[in-house]
Amino acid sequence: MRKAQTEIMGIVVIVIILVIGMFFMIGQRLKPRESSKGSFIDPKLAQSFLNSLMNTKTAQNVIVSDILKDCYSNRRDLCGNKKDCCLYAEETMRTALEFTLGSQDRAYRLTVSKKGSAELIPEISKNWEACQENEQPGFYYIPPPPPIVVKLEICK
Amino acid sequence: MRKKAQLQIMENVFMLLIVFVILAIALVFVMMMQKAAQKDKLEEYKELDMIKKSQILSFLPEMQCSDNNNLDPDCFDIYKIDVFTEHLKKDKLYYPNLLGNIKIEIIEFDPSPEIPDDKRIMRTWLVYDNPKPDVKGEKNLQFPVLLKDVVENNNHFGVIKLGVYE
Repeated sequence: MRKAQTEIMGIVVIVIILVIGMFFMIGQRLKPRESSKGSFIDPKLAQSFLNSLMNTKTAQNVIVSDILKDCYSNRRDLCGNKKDCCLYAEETMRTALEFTLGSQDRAYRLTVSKKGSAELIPEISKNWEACQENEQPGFYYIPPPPPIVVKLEICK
Repeated sequence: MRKKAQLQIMENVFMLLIVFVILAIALVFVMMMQKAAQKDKLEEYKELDMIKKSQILSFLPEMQCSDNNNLDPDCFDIYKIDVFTEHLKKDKLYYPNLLGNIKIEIIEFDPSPEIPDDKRIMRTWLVYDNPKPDVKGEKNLQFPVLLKDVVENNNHFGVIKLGVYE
């Protein structure tokens, strides 16, 4: 091999090394940065929402957790004669979720369940199917045992 | 012989020139990356500042509900909010230093199905508003809270809105 060819090979090697370095740096740069806001604030959000909503007194002068309790009991008389308490609770939770999380374009899913009982309140969700990773969920337990479990998950 | 030596010198000079050009391009690239990284860091500091401010808000016993000195971080007493709002209007030293350039707004919202949509917002408190002289923007956070009326023994659903001025 001639000397000139060897020198060109040298330059090519340097250029290749630099290009690899640039690709590496660009790769690092393009990695999505995790928002500190998301990791510090959101774990509280679901729990705060449930703690606040479940103790809220509605226009029927009854708190939301008592309405849910009534929905899972055989009485169902707390929401007046015309309204079904399960429907009343569902509408109340849906409106509150839309006002807080929906207005911020956050995907969420709220489920209400009781061991050994049928699903009386359908899942309330928004854009949940598209969610890849969710935040720490919030739980609210309504006695007596087995408790009614209200679970709220919010998408990251 | 002399011509060959000149050619060799020229060849070396060109080689050095090419290497310098490549290094200069690499340097410019690295500087651009550094600048972008600094911008990212600045954004992160802003977010951390916002978190700091939101933490202050969570630990403001001036507005939180208390029962036998047990504070509830998710509950605000509406009478305390009224008094604290009035106090903040007069205070020009302690709270502006503690809270900085932020806006705190509390909204009482009724999610009951029988309430029409345009009447759901029952009350609004502008607790604190201290904008910067040259406001470039505002970052907002929202937390759901319980608003307690201890006199009427009533609990309302509410949202506390925190705006951090940039």
